[in-house]
Amino acid sequence: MEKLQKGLDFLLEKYTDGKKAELISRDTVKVDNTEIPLLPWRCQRRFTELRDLVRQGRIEDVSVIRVSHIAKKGTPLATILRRELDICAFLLDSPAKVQHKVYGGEVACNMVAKLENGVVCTIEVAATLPATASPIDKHEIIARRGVACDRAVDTQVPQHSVYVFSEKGEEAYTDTDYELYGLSEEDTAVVRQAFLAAGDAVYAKSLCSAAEALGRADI
Amino acid sequence: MKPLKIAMMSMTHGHTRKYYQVLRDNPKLDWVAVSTENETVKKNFLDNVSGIPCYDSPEEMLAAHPEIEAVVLASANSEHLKQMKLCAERGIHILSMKIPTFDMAEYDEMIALTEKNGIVCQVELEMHYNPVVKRIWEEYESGKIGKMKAFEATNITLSPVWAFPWQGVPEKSYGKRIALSDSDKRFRGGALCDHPHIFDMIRHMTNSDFASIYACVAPNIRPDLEVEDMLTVIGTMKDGTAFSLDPSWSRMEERIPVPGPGWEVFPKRMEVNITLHGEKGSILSDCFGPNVYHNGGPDDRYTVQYTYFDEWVGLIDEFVECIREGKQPKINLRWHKKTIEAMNACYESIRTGQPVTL
Repeated sequence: MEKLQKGLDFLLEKYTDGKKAELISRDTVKVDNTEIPLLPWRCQRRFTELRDLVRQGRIEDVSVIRVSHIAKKGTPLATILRRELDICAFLLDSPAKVQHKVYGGEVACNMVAKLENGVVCTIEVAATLPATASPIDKHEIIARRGVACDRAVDTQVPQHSVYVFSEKGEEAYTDTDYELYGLSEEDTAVVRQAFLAAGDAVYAKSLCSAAEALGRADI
Repeated sequence: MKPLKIAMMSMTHGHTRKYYQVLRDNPKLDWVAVSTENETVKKNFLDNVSGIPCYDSPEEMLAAHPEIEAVVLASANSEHLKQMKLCAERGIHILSMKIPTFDMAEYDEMIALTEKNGIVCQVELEMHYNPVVKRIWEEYESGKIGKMKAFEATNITLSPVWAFPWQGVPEKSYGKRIALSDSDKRFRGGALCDHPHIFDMIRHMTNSDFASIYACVAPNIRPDLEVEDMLTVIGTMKDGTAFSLDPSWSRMEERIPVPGPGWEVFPKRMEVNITLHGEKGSILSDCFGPNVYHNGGPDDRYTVQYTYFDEWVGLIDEFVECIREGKQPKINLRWHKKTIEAMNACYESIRTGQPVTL
């Protein structure tokens, strides 16, 4: 958390007149003595880009969102489902309602949800990866005109920006933010969203509303 | 082994072209004749294949070639029972397309017909002869990921209806004109009817049958079709395995009358990806990848050029072996019946909006 707070302090100092905010956890930031829930995936660049493709009409008449997410063993399925249900709602700017879900023991869950605008969402999650593995996820929006996806066609696992092959083995890096260089994609999103919430009361309120809606969802 | 004298009927199924090479190359086969459904289909066949007698009706073909031992029914689903009768009463073995029929009374009639006449009837589910599927199975059987807890699969393609119009006609594809639900005036007979493979594959890999099914249709991405093109299916198997299946026509196509280069709008025209989650890990697979890629002709669009497509080799080998050695193919009518029942349950779930217990 120290690294994340340091990144947040850097942004606040650079862009505000002495605004202060405290990251209580990766899920909560405290601003002016008010705790604001964080949904940090909403600040991951791939999701804002996908959302913009819909908003700008680059893809038209969305029919389906397909999501898969495989996390490390031991990750609570509800945590993954909550994130992915919110991503679906966020991408299409439309509230999501769970229609049905099935569990494969404690390691997998498949869910169908519907957005208020009629788009059908399939969410497949699992927590089976070894401790050393990075999460594998994919988000695909299928429309009458066009398909938008955060993964390349004909691939099964996420790509990275940099690969290093040495005597130490293989390493991979995906750096997405120059100002917050060194933080992972997920940590960067936490800091970016905390910063936005600290400086924009309307945005902070929208996070509270979205978190409340997720709390009411049948997850 | 004496080559099997084989023929094809109708030539209107999307898989028809897959047989051209294997029927020519496989030394276990002697391709005797074909019958075509209409003049357009006949011309298309004659443009692609020479030296094989081509008839205007199956009856004419069977009368002219009493030596025919087996037939590939490359026809619309609505034609299958009629053509099976033609074959069975002559003792001719049958390779049926992937959907024999959705009418379960007709289905039982097919079973009775083939069993009474002592003929082999194999259903064309070619994924069983795919090397990636074989690898998935071996990896799972090795115990590396422990007992399977979830099975997820896509069988997504472009829509073939512009080249094979019967696939968009409810009576020819599903067998009847039935609205999806009281509030949805689209009809049964679309993408679901084109994609039985993943419903079959989960039964094969779990050695279990469907316990519950929930299916949901989404808005069509081809609004002018009267059948469904986008849907999702989740549920559980009797052994507790959870599943998620996507049998949609979710890859857009150019509306060309004869499939060929430039058919796809989305770069990858077809995908069967299977994921298994076990107690101790996961297996992710792409049954038709990786491939090669180009942005050349005819449209200069970035396109996935498939590098592997010979499931029909193993499929035909099994068919011939079963006939010559009097064996029952794994994918026979009795085995496949529960797959068809599950697909019908999808339509029932779509109608009611509720999960269906099998």
